[in-house]
Amino acid sequence: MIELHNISKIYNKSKSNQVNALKEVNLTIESNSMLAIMGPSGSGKSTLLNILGCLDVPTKGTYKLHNQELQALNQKKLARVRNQHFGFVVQDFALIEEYKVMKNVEIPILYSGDKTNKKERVLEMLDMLGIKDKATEYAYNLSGGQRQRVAIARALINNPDVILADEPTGALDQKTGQQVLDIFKRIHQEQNKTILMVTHDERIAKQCEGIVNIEDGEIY
Amino acid sequence: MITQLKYALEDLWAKKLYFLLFLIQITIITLLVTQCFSLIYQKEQAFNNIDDTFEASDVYYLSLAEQAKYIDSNNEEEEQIMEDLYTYATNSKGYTIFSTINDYIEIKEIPQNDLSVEVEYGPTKVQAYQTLAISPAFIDVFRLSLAKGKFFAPNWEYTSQESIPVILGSSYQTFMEMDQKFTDSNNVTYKVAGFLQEGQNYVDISFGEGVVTLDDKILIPIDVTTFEGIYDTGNVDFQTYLENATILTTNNHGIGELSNITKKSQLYNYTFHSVAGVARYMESSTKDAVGVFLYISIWVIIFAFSLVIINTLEFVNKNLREFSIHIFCGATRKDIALRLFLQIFIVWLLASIISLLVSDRIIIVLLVSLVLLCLCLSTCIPSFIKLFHLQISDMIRRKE
Repeated sequence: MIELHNISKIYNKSKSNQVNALKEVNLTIESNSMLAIMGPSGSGKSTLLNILGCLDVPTKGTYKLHNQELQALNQKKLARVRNQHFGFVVQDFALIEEYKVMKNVEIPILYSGDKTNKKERVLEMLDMLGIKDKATEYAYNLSGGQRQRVAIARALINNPDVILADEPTGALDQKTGQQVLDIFKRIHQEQNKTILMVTHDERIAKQCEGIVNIEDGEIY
Repeated sequence: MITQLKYALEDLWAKKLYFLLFLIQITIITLLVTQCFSLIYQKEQAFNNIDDTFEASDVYYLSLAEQAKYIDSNNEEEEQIMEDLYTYATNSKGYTIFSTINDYIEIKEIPQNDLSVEVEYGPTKVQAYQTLAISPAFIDVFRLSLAKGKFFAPNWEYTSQESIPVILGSSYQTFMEMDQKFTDSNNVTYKVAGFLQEGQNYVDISFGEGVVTLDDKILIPIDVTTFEGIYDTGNVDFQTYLENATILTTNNHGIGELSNITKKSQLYNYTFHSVAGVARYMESSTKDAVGVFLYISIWVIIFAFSLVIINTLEFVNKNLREFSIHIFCGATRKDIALRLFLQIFIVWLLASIISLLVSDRIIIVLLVSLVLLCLCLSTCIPSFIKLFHLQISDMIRRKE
C-alpha cells in the first residue's frame, strides 16, 4: 500500500520563479489497484509520479510504501527501493538505442542483488510480451509498439509491486496504444501488480479501476 | 564497482569509433604538449650549456692579418710558429683549444632521408650532408654524449688506406648503422664509429650562431699532423686550424703566453679577440628564443586543453540520457559518476600508454598525462553537478 500524507513539492524555493508543483497532497493507493492520473499540463502529474517512484523527494510530507517511510532514506536506499519495488514505463520508451533488446531489459537486474539466471529471466519476460524473437535486435530496429513492450519487459524484470507509467501510449497509434494498454491490464490481473498511469486520454483512463484527478498541484 | 567497470568497458566497445577519436585526440594532445615542454627543456638546457661553457672561461678567437712589409718571409718559420702555438695551447693546462670547420659532403648510396640539404657548387646544385670537423677538446667542452659506439681517439691520424671514423647526429640512427662504411663524391671512405644522443648541442663562437644542434651533423675528426688529402679528409694545416679555433683560458689565465709565441712572426699579425660580448649576445638571444618558444607553446597548450574540455563536455552531455535510464532502473548518481570516471580513466590510460611508447620523454609524458587527467575530470564536474541536480524524468523525456 502507498500512502502520501500532506506531500508538497516546491521547485526553486524562495526564488522569484518558485513553483508549488504539489500542495499538501493526501493519497492512499491500495495494492493491486490500477489507477489513471489525469490532469492538464503542468498540473503536477509527473511530479507526483516522480515522488511515487523515488526519482524525486518531497519538500515536505510523509511518503510510506508498505508502511515504510521513504522520504528520509538516502540516495543509495532510494535507488534500491526504485530497483526492487517500482517499474517505469514512459512515453518515449527510454530505451538505450545502441543496446540490444536483451541488454536493455537486463539493466535493472544488474543493479539488484540477484543476478542469477539473468538470460533465462529476460527471455521468459520477452516471451510473455510476445517479442522473444526480437531479443538480439538493436532497440533502434524496433517499431514503436515493440519498443514499448521492451520497456514494459524492463519494468517487470525485477518483479516489482508497482508499475509507474507516464503516458505509455502517448507516442503510439490508437491500435498499438490499445494493445499496450491490454498488456498493462493483463499484468494487473494475472500478476496482481499495482499500476499507476499518467494519461491525457479519457478513453484509456476509463479502462482503469479509478481516476486520480490533479490540478494546480492538488488532488480533487 | 565491477558492474560500472563492465558498463564502462561495454560503453567503450559499443561507441568505439567515438572513443577511438577521443583517444586519438587525447594521445595527440599528450604528445603535442609533451613536445612543447620537451623543446622548452632543450632550449633551457642549451642556455645552461652556454652558461656553463663560458662561466669559468675567457674565450678568444684568432685572426691572422698579413704584414705587407715582410711578405717574402720564410714560410717554414711561420709554419713553426703556428705549430708552436697549436702545441702550446693544446698541451698547456691554462688553455683549452678546439677547432670547428663546417662543410658539406655528398654521400653516395645512402637511403632516402630528409637530412640532406641543397648546396650550390658553382652552377650545379647537389644534395649534401652537413659535416663538422672537430678537434678532440670540442667533445669535452660541450660534454657530448654518445647513444652508441665510441668517440674517435684524440691521437687519430689520417691514412689514405683507412676509412675516416665519423660520429653521426642522432637523426642518422634511423637509416645508418654502426660500423657502416660510406664514400663521398671524392671517393673518401668513412666509417660510422658512433651516434650522438638526441638533443646534443654546441655553441658556435666563430660565426656567432649561438646554440647549434648536432642531431643532423656528421662529426669528423681533425688531423693537423698529416698533410695528405688536405681539406677533403679532415686534414687541415695549422693556419686553417688556428683560424677556426676557439681558445678558452681557464682560471683567469691570460692570453699573454700565446701572444708571446706569435710575436716572433714576421708574416702575420696575430690578434686574439675576446668573445665575451658575443657570448653575452648569444646568451641573451637564446634566452629570447626560449621566451618566444614558451609563448608559442602556451598557445598550443591552451588550444589542446580547450579541445579536451570540449570533448569531455560533449561526451558527458551525449550520455546524460543513457545515464538517466540507469538511474531510473536502480543506479545511484554515484554509480553513474563512477562509470563516467572509469570511461574517461580508461581512455586516458590508453592514451598515456601509447604516448609513453611513442615518446622517449617519460617524465614529461607522465606529468602531462596527469595534468590531462585532472583536466578531464575537472571538466566533468559541471556535468556531474548537472546530473546530480537535473530531474531524471526531464532528462528521459528530452529526446536527442
